[in-house]
Parts: sequence; structure tokens; C-alpha cells
Amino acid sequence: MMGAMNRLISEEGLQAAVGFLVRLVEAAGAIVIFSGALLGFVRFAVAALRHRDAESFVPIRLDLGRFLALGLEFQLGSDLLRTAVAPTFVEIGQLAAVAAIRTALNFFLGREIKEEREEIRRAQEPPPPREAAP
Amino acid sequence: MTAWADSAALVLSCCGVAALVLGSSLQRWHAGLNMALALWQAAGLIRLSGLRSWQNLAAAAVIVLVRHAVSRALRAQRQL
Repeated sequence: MMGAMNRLISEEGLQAAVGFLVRLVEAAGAIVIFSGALLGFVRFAVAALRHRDAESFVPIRLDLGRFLALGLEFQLGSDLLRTAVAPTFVEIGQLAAVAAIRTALNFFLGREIKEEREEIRRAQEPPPPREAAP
Repeated sequence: MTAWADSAALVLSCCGVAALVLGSSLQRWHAGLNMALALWQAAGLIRLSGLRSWQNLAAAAVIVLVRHAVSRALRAQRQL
């Protein structure tokens, strides 16, 4: 059974296939990060030249953060693939480091989104009515 | 892949400098600095797609922390 399996899928063949998939997923992550960052820069330049108010920059920065988190998810996926066949300790350590960076980035991003929403909500609230003078 | 990632990271780093210059020239240096830090962070993450090394990983982690610290400091200053 194992002999037939080894003839069907050799370890070298499996490693080559996984290597190709790793490249593919890494490239997808890099494309997501690069295109998101360029789009964010163009939107920032347009907002800076046209609107110039502080609120218009917030959604741009948060969208860019979401692109970065998505790209990092792809990189995490490529690391998981890399460790699928005969992983080394270095690969496992790097996988742990990327997972830690991704978790920190998502945590900070989530907190930033919450704080910015609070700030926008407070700015949109009408001021409390003044007491009438006697 | 490494050469492509390095070139993309260089382009994003230049965009970060441009965002900083644009923000400060329009009296919006808070927004410019925030955007520049986000773009430099993107450059650091793209470099991870190329040659994965401990140095690149440490640089990406440090940029995430610095960006977060500066963002918090700017927000605290804005609320004063």
C-alpha cells in the first residue's frame, strides 16, 4: 500500500507541488498588499488636495490596514503550506513569528477602528443644549 | 520574487515619503505621518514575501509596534 502510494506521489514531487503553491500564495499576498497600499496612497493624495478635513483620512487609513491584514493572511497561508512537508525548526519558528505579527496587527487594527468610530460618533453628536439665562 | 518584492517595497517607501511631504506641506502632518507609517509597514510586509529571514521578520514587527505607538501618541495629542 505504502509502496504504491510512494510510486504515485513521490516526496520530491510533493515538495515541488507545495513549493509552487507557496510561491503562488506568497505572490497573491504581495499583490494584495502592494495594490492596497498604492490605492491608499492615491486616495490619500486626492483627499489631501480636495477635502483637507481630518475625517476624510480616517477611512483611507483603516481600508489600508484591512488590505495589510488580508495580505498577511496570505503570507500566513503560504507559511502553513511550507510547513506541510518535512518542516524544519526554522520554518516553524518563522511561521510562529508571522502568526504573532498578524495577530498583533489585527488586534491593533480592530482597536483603531473602534476608537475612530467612537471619535466620529462623538463628533457627529449635537452639542448639549445651553441653559437659558434668567 | 525577491527582486520584485524589493522593488515593490522601494516604491511603497517612496510613496510613504511623498505622503509625509504632502501632509506636512498642506498643514496635515498628523494624517501624513500616519499614512507614511502605514505605507512603510506595507513595504516591510512585502519584503516578507521575498527572502524570509529573521531580520525581515524583526523589521516588520518593529514597524508594527512603532506605527501603533506613534498613532496612539498622535491621537492622545489630538484629544488634549
